[in-house]
Amino acid sequence: MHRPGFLNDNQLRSYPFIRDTGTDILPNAWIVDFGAIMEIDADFQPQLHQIYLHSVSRLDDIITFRFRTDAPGASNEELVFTHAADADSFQLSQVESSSITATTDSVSPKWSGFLATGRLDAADNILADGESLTSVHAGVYLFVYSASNSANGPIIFAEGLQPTIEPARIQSLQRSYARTITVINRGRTLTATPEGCGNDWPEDVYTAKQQPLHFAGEFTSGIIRLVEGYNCRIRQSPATNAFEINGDVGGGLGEPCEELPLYDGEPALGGSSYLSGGIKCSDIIKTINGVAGPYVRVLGGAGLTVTVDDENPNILHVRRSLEDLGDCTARELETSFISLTLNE
Amino acid sequence: MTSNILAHDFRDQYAESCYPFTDHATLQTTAGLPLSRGVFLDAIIHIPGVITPVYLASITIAPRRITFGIAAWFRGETAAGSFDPTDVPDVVALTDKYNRACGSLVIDPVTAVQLTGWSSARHLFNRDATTFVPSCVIPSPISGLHGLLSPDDELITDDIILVGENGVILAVDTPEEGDPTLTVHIVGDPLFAKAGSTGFLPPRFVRTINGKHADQYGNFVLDVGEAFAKDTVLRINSAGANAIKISSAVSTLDSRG
Repeated sequence: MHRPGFLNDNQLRSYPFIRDTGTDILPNAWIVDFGAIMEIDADFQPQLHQIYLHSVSRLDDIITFRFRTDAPGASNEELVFTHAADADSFQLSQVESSSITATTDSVSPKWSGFLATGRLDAADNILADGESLTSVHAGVYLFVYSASNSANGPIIFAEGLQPTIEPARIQSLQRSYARTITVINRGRTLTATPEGCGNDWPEDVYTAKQQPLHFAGEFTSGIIRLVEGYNCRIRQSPATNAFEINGDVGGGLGEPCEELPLYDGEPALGGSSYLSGGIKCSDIIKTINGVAGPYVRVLGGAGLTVTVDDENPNILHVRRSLEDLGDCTARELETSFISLTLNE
Repeated sequence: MTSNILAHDFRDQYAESCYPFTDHATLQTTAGLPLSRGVFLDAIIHIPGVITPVYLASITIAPRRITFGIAAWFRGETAAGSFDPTDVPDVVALTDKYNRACGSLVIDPVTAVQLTGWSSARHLFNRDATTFVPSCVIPSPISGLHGLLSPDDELITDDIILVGENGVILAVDTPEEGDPTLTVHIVGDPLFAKAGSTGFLPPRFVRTINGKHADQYGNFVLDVGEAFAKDTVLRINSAGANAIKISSAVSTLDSRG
């Protein structure tokens, strides 16, 4: 015996909608199949979220179907299908989601889908040109607009009565692939101004977690080559499909001769020669008269005293001490010392 | 007057059939336990990397959890979904070991409660018993990069962000010809002591004395001025390893009488 096809069957039942989910509003023959793919950032979870027919509107002989979802990542985008009311059964169309509020298309659609409609020739009995149907509360629908005041008035299904798509018609791609790889570098550790050393350097505002991020690039498609840079060794293991990235002094491109900028045009900090804002070794005093630090004591001998200025600890006073000259002993005068940090 | 039902509703129609399993599915566990046809109403299965037919490999009964294990032919279980039998949903989401979405099973909550009558155990099926019809399975071959696995076996997917920090600098080069490259530089952090400590105190270097810098070797010379004058009494001498003594020679002369 001849059996009708799948779409023929669906003209006589609520499929692809779940039965008793507002499916008594439209003829079963109007929508005979539907399928959707929810992209990775739609946050669609089959047990929690749904896709439903939000509204149907008609202008001339064009009927527009709008599908929406309550998935948090895609709730502001909808699928809009336009089918001709006088076309043959089974029209098929496929669209990507568009923003509900914005007039421009989404750069990266959150979902897409297809729609198959059956006979729409009964449209005049359901939704006349320019006429609309709005639900006022559960189970009650009134024709409230006329062609004169609402040319595109849609049928809008009340919340809880929206025809809901069968879950098995929805494919969720959540966590299923890597879409893009964005590469950034965290800002380098910057030198800080030691307490009492003036304003040669900016305030030390960059702690480990507060350092700014600098965009280095993005991969969206194609092949990516992983390259060994300075002091780097990369091992590839075909058996485990793994990359092992190791630090290796002199490996890869060898050792860098100077600081590596995080991005093109990275400026040195505070007029320093270094990107991290430090001072050169040649900019500091490492020895005094060949006496090395890190701390050098400056002592006052016979006839002289060395004292630290009361107000500015960076000033040493070397003064004659005449009272000591009458003393024929060679004892040392009061000795003072100041710690001079020469290097670490 | 007789009447005919022209078309069953979808779920009603397929609840009476083996669907979403093949018509020849026996729907029996390896121990001979029968699975009611009405438990499963529909399915969509798309397991990453699986292109072969798939089947319901196991139903595991635990006190507060019933788990469906899905396996591909010639492979072990690759996806699973579970629910609480005290609150049976009509949709059971399937995920793999990396928590990736692998589809959904539509079940009849009323019929599925029968599973609570099964003994607490892992009930196995042969593939001939519970193979899903091809229309419920979307082959998902491995193509492209599905994600990055961390050493802890955590899968990173979607929009991935690689961050260079703590002395690692990542550089991206996208030449007009050839493949784009990601270069890993390991240059270290010259200020690692500061980066690794919240209580770090910046070192206080001496840069100048009376506005004068050290020489090219970093040495600063404290001189007595007229160094070669015979009558100078000022002496600047080293006094031990880390000390300089500034003194007058006058008292010494006096002491000699």
